[in-house]
Amino acid sequence: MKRVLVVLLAVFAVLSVVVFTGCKAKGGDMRFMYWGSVEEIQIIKEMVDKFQKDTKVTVSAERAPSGPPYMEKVLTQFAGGSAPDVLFVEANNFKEFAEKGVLEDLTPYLNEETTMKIGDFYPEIIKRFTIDGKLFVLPRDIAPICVVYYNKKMFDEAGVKYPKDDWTWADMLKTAKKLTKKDANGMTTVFGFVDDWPIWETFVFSNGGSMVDNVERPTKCTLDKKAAIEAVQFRADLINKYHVSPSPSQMTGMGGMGTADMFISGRVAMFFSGIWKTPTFRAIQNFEWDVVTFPSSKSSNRGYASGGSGYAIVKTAKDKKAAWKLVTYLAGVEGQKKLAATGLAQPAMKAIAESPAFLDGKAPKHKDIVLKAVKYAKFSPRVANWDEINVSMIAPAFDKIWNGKEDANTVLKELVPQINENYFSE
Amino acid sequence: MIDKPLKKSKMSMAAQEGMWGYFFLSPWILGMILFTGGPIIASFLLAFCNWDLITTPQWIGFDNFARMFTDSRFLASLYNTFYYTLFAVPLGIVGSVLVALLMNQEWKSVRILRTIYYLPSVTAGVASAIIWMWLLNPDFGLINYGLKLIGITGPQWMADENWSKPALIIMSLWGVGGNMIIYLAGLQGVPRQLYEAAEIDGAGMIQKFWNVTVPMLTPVIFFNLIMSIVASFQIFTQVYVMTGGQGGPADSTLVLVLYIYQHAFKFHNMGYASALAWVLFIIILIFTLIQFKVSGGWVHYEGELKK
Repeated sequence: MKRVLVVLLAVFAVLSVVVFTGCKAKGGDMRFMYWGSVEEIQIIKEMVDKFQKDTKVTVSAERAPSGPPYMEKVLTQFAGGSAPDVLFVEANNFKEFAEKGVLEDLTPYLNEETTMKIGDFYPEIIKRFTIDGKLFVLPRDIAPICVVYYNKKMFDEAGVKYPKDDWTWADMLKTAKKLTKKDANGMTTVFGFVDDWPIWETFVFSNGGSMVDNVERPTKCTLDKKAAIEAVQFRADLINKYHVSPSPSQMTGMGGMGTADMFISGRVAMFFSGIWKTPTFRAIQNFEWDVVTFPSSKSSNRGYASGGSGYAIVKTAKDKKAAWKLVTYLAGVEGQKKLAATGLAQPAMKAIAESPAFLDGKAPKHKDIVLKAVKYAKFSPRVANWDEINVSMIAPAFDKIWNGKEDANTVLKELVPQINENYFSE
Repeated sequence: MIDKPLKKSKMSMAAQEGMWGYFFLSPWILGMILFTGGPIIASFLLAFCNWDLITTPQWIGFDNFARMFTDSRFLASLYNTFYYTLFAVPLGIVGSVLVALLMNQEWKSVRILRTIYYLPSVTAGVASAIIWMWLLNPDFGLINYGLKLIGITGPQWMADENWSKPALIIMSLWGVGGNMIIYLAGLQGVPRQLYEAAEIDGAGMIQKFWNVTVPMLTPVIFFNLIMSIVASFQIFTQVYVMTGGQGGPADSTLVLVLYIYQHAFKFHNMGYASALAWVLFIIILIFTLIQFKVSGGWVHYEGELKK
């Protein structure tokens, strides 16, 4: 029996050595985690290659699918004690790292940098990535979610004028009604307006409402204020009262067909999202399209939910100088210019966003709307548990509003005190 | 004197065989210890911690378990899981026994039919969930189209919180083929002479079914009952795919495993998620023990010695 155990332990030891060295066999001097579309991957690879050539430091770049899978992978690596050295960070996911003390303060690096300075970047995105005067992420892009893509052919056929940036919610509704089409059975064949996902935040912001009292240090939820309730109700009315937007039931079981596909296939006249849909829509052959800013409410308020991203250095990085160098390659002038050329994102450096690198004359014609939108960019509350509040409290309650079972006033007046009690009580 | 060396060599051969046995088992043992055993122990300890995956876990004692009593979403997820199990398991058992009986006939094309009924079981969960999203589409789905043909306006299914759970239960019946195979094997193991004896005693079709087929099938039903309850407590893939990981609308399809997933990978409350996972384990354990306890009353083992 003893011998058996000895052999067993030997086998165990040998195999575990194989298993664990297997994990570390691959890799360079530095590890870098990112997500990205086809266009972004191309740019990131080019910049990483250039960095490796210039510095002779090898980088193993790992990609994960964007959104929750990316966060899962990164956080699991943190949990396993093998965090990457350089990290791609999204403005709304930044809260996961923000106050945990795992990211390196980039302010001293940026102060000594000769190729760029803090004033080159849009202050809105710098503010988002700064806590107590320390900048933790070097921004790559900023993305105010304010872009209404419209199908020009449908406007022409219906004899409706193209929308202008000074339009209001009422104008938008009027336009959407004219563009919505039904067949003989009363089934809607073309919807006037649809958002990429329920982007109720932009509705709230553009009516002068807010989600919380203080985005950086929230102490209470403010979705029960009149401006927010009106905005949420307006989005619900587009669906259930005016029938210009598809209901959740009309959307479920589209079998993976998202609202963007509906725009591409001509089933939607106006599609609301961020500028990042541009490369996808440039492939459209059947009709011409352009963009217009999301309308302000009657009070002429502006405000847009926003995204954005950039690069951070993890505190445990071995060679921080080299890591910073890599960050400057990725988010530097050349990287941002390349990104601008794809049409995918608005560069975080103001001068590049306003240069022909971004305003290159390719579709959409009125791409410059996003430049004016930046100063109205708003972000989600910067607390780690905002996702939890959103998924576990807000989304289930809003389901009832979107499917028309209850009105926004009733739901929000009941919901907000619960959120405040559960999450903001101390 | 003579058999002593002989005996010794026998012993060492047994030891040698044992050694090789362990050697061949080692991939599984290693996998079990490294990839299952470790996480099980870790999750048990984490159940008493607060951990966001980034910073060091903090020991908080029984707080995670205390939190469950006032967590309305946990209670909702428990309700949804029980609701689903209560309907999906009995319907699944009745359904798969009926299909197995049909597939046990000696028709010409029965083999093809068996294959067709079994196919959903080899289809990837995500793929079948997407197919069902199409089938259940309120506007152009096949199910509501069929209902319309017979003059019924179909419900909104996954978009309506009152119909989303029934929709999941109906979906679960698609998988009866998997258990059907096991019942089929059980049915074909029933000795012919029992039926012949019953016929001689004058039993008809229904009597033969209740007095021969059902008792002979009870061990298989028992096995399937346990496995189905365990599986239905762990329902996840369909709900995750069909609701985008949300469990909507209005939390009506928020099942326990989905809730665990949300806390672990969306809210990064790994400690609370671990505590929830252990509660799920205990629930399943209790249900399984109860079934073993009451099984003596209704499960019939032909080879069993009568006490």
